[in-house]
Amino acid sequence: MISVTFRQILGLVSLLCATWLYSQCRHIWLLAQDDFNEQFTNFLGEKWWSTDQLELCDDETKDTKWQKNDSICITYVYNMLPVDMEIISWAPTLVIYRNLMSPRQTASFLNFIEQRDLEIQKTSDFGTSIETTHRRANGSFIPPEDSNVTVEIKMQAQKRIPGLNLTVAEHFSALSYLPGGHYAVHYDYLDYRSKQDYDWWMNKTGNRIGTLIFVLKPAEKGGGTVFPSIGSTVRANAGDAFFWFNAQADEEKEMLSNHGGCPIYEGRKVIATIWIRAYNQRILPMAPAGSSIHASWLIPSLSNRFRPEMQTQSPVPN
Amino acid sequence: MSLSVSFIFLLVASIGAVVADSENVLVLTESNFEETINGNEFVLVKFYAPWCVHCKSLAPKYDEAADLLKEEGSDIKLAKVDATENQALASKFEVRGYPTILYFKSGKPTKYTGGRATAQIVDWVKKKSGPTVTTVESVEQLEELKGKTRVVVLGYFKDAKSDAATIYNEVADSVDDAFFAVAGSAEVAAAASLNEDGVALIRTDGDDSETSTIAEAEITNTIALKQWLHAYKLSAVTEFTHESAQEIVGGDLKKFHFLIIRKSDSSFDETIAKFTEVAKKFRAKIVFVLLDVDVEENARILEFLGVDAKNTPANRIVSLADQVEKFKPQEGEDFEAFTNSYLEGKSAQDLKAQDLPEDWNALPVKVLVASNFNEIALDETKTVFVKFYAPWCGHCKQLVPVWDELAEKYESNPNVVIAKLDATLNELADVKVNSFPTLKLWPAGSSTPVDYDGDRNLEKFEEFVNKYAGSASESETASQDHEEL
Repeated sequence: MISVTFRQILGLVSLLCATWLYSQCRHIWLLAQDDFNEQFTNFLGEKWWSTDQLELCDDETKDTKWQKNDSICITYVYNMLPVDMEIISWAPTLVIYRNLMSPRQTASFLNFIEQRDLEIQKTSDFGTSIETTHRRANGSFIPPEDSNVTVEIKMQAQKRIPGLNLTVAEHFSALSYLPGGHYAVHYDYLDYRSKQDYDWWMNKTGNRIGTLIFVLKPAEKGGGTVFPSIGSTVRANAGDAFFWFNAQADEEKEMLSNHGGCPIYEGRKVIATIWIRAYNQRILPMAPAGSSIHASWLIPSLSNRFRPEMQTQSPVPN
Repeated sequence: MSLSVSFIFLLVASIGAVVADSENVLVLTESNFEETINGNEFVLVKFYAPWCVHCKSLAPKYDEAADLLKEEGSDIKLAKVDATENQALASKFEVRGYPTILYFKSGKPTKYTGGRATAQIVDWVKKKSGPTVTTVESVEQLEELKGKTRVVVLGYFKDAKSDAATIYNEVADSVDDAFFAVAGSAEVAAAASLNEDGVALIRTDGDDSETSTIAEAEITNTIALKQWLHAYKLSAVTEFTHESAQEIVGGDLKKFHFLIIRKSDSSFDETIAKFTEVAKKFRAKIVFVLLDVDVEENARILEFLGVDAKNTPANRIVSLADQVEKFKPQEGEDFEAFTNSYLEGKSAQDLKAQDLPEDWNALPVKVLVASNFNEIALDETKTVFVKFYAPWCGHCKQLVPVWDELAEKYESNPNVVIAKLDATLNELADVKVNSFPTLKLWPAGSSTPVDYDGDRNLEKFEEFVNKYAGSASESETASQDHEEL
């Protein structure tokens, strides 16, 4: 009797000690990552990446898209609001909205995310979520109404990007990547075996036809977003947002929209993603189906003079 | 056996159900299109492709709309064209996407702007086919309309076929954000302050409610009437907010006079009173807008207008017609004088100009700004290749090392200048920069630049410059000859 009781007590004390030690070590580890910029060059999940993809991530000289004459930046004006837009690819669409968020909004949103509990993220595969080394990140969904700044940022994006209907978008998905964090190359377009597997979003709003990523904090080394089929890596600054279409106008998957979150070697990356669904998107019925949606659909018609030979058909009222 | 026979029958019935189209949707081809469009007053035409997913999801709703209209005995016809089989038709109407829906009224096409649900299709075509203008028979009816509609536009024309009445009806057809009516009697017209033929705009906005009128003689064309309506739908001075932005900018008047001030400024009340007084004099010519400097979101607009928040109060006129043009008052020019000066075409454009850096000539790449641009670019002895860039532009950043290298190659050539100009801080009257980077070369002795539109790499740049300036190596050869001597 005495012997059994002693062993139970010993076990309990050991468990408590182990828990305490774990939490302390984890805290120290997190501090080390954030405060001391300790280099951490290995990452789990390397097996998911090809050599070419990693080279495009890490070696800026591999990305020669900027050398093409049609890689341009423009400022369009919509309702007196100037918008700085950098076009990486016209078709399929890949664009960066520079300084879409003000420094105050960026800092406020970042702070809001850091107050939340972030969980290890899973990936969706045919409607089932599983934890995997395919992606290493912590995140949380944030309904826009949860804070003033998220309401403000979403409204601001809608006013500046009138071609997209952001009312048909999922909640913000806030993601934090530490050194070693990454998301192997994948599609955001959701594949299902059959309609019976559809979730609420899919039934009510259709597929994720576009992805808009707000960059709150870029990593110090690594952490870009690579688009292997386009041949470019997006390296956005804090305050920028970038967008691409995951689908063509007939809502079929855009095969050139595969992308990945590049491994992080130094610092920490924080982004907030919104996936835009198909329902009531004004561009979809207007753009030609059967080919990539052209980025000019996102430019309000006042700016079509930047390239007179292009006849923009913006779905935005003139 | 009987089971399998039943199954076959069910299958056939099912297939039949799937492939059946409404017989109330006209099938148009190149051979019968003109006949149908001109033989019916109202026709909604859907251009589709058989493989198009959106077209398939729209088809049953479109069919149902046709069935409903048929049941009601409507004159409106719904039709469809297979654009893959009738490509000349699709090309004629510039069909670029599927489905494209056009509405033909007396043979004249306009874009369908309604929704994709059956009820929306029916409502839209009814609205477009029915009388756009409601006749108001009594003062009570007018009061009722005012009570439920923010903007009521009332026309009064003794001759319903007069020029002004025709213009009014055309405008009513094309403007969607106001309610259009005609007075059925002089009594109703008088209730809207119309004592003679003309148009009244009744805006119900609480304390800011207003009734404005324009006489028949002043209604000269549709554009003028649209601009008048745009102006009087707004207050004399409207504050720029995200709610009001579309209404301010989206109308037919594309000229704006901005008062840029802090509402918290001690001089605000006096200044806004003067501004408002002037605004009333130019009501249908320029839209007068208040821009509060304290609103964070307006910072981007100030930047766009080239106004420093520290230099406010300030005012600017902006034209958003074909190009974005900005105008600044002369020293001491008051609101009214400035507005008159602008309308008479005497105001100079307000072009951004950066101060010339002292070290503009220190490095191989020369720094151009508005003040030294003509001196350098139009130098008759030099070939000048200029990069117009924006600091925020990633492509421009990636171009920097190549541009530096190019400039180094020509540094010892006195006849070639490689330069850059920040186009977000410098605007030039004669050089339009619509995207970044823009690369233009001014050949020696020419004031007309040549646009570079090739790939952005050193080899191609050198090739381009040498085409106009001779090669860098010639300079080296000349140098060697000199050494020999």
